[in-house]
Amino acid sequence: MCICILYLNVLSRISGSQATEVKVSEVEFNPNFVSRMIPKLEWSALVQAADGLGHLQDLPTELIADYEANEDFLRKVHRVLLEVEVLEGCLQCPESGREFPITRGVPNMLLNEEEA
Amino acid sequence: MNNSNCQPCALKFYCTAGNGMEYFLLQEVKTKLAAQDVDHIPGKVFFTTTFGVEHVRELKSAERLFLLLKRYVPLSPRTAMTAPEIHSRLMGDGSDWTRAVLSWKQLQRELTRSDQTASMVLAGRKRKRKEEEEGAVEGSPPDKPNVTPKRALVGESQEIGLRKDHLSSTEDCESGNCVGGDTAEVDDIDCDRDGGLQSDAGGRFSHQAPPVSFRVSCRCSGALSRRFTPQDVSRILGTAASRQLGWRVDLRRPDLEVNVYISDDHCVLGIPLLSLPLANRSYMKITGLRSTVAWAMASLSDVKPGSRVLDPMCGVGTILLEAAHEYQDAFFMGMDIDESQLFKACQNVEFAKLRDQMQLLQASCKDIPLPSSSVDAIVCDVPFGKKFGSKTDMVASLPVIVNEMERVLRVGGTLVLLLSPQLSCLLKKIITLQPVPSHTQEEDPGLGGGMDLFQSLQPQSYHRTGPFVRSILRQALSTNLKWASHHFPIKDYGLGFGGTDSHPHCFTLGCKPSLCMLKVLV
Repeated sequence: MCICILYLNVLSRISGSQATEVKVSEVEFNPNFVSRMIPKLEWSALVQAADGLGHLQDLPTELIADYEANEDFLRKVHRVLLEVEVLEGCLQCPESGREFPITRGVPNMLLNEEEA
Repeated sequence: MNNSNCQPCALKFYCTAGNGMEYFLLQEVKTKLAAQDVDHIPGKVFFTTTFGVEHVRELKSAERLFLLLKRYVPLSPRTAMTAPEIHSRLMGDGSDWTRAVLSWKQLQRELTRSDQTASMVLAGRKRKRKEEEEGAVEGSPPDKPNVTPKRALVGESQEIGLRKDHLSSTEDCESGNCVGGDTAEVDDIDCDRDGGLQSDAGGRFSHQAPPVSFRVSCRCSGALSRRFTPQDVSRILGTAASRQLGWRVDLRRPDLEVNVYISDDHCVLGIPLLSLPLANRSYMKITGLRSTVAWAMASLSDVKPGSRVLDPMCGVGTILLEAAHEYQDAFFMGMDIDESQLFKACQNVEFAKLRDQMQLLQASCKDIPLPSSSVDAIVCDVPFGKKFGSKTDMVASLPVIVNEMERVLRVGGTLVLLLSPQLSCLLKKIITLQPVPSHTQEEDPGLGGGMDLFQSLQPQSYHRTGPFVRSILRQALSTNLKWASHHFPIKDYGLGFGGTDSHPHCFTLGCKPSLCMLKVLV
């Protein structure tokens, strides 16, 4: 599961210690795509997730202004968003603590009968 | 036909299209191929373009691609042509046929060239993909080939050979391969044979058109079909071609095939350019919804760079894959409750090399694990209950499902659904009964403007719609919702749903101040 999903689910955080399989691949850099995604991200969530996975590296903890033109910055975001993938692990909801397992990169977010 | 390679010449093509898909194909040829002389009859779209065949074959809403040989409109429809008339009108002096075969040869060369380039790149990528799979998981970056995925995978269908059992028959299925000419020779033909002049029995042929081997395939309807069988027509034209042009008949493995379609209103002759339909995608491993319809749905969803697109019942992911292949700067999410479907979807994503654009989730569409108003577009082929679950289940669930979709869709977002007639009627009822969200309940001074806007968008549709729909429209307008009506009749859109009939309507739902577009395809 690539980190990109995080911007959608503000309730979840990746529990770093439970990510048992993380894959880093090389993905073709598409600056348009990255700069369009940035406004839709919750930056602190992204930073926290990357950190939890041990892949924070040089990603700034604050979103910089004028990022569209900053290729260096975009490349850092690209790396974290698209190149780091959780293949096996968990998504954890920080409010309820409920954990959603990730298998082969696909999170299972089905709720049981009693939870729904 | 120009001999120089640098000058593009305009060629006339036509494509077959599934019933109801003509609209999409018309748009597509104009947008992608700058097509001129665009015209259509039911099931076929004609166009002229200077774009190379490697671009024409990328059309997404077409079934099969043909080079136009001849098009003839009978002067007196309903009166069948006689045999001599068939000969004179469809063969004539044979110049159309001669011209066509020259264009066809050129196109075959272009196609072979583009396949070869693609295959070479593909062989390289296959090797690398294998290495990647066999290597360690952690930290082994796969090499990215130099060619963009679209072009590189073009040759794949030639090598991998898509499973035919996944193909439904198209409108264009020939009624049978028929014989033309005096002798039925069955030797092995060397496809690339340009050959010198051959002496055929009784052959009077032109030096510009070296003899090819061919067969004629006919489909007839209307008055003519009552007088002649398809075999009769093939024989007439086949004999003419072999006598006048010196072409050689070969039933088994001809160089080319001449496709003849005769109805009361039209005669269309063409040469198919590819053995497989365009609807067979080289990048799709496991098929689900018909690829042409999936692409059409994606084209309606208004995907822009940076769009987040969701399919909450994605199955094997067909719609999202078509969309991701077409719109490379957007992000696509597929959800399904069924693990086995998701597994196939995973394979599809891998095969199409679209992992960086797509994310799959196992989730229930009744409980979408996404925040409200977080998605720009939703596209969904709603299961009709024939293949999945039962009809009653789906009917009972539809209100909950639509509610969830509306929740996660942002204001101004687009919703595209493919529904059966029954579900479509149900949807109309749900939308009228839905309570209006409180923030739009204040008096809308622009309501008159809303009405005008609607009318200016669809001036004829409102009056053409039936009384039931009109009452919905009035009610909707009174509750601050704007409605418009588009008609997208689609038939035979699914592999398993060949017999489903169509029911044309689609809705645009609006809440002031911005529109939330709901387009329903049935």
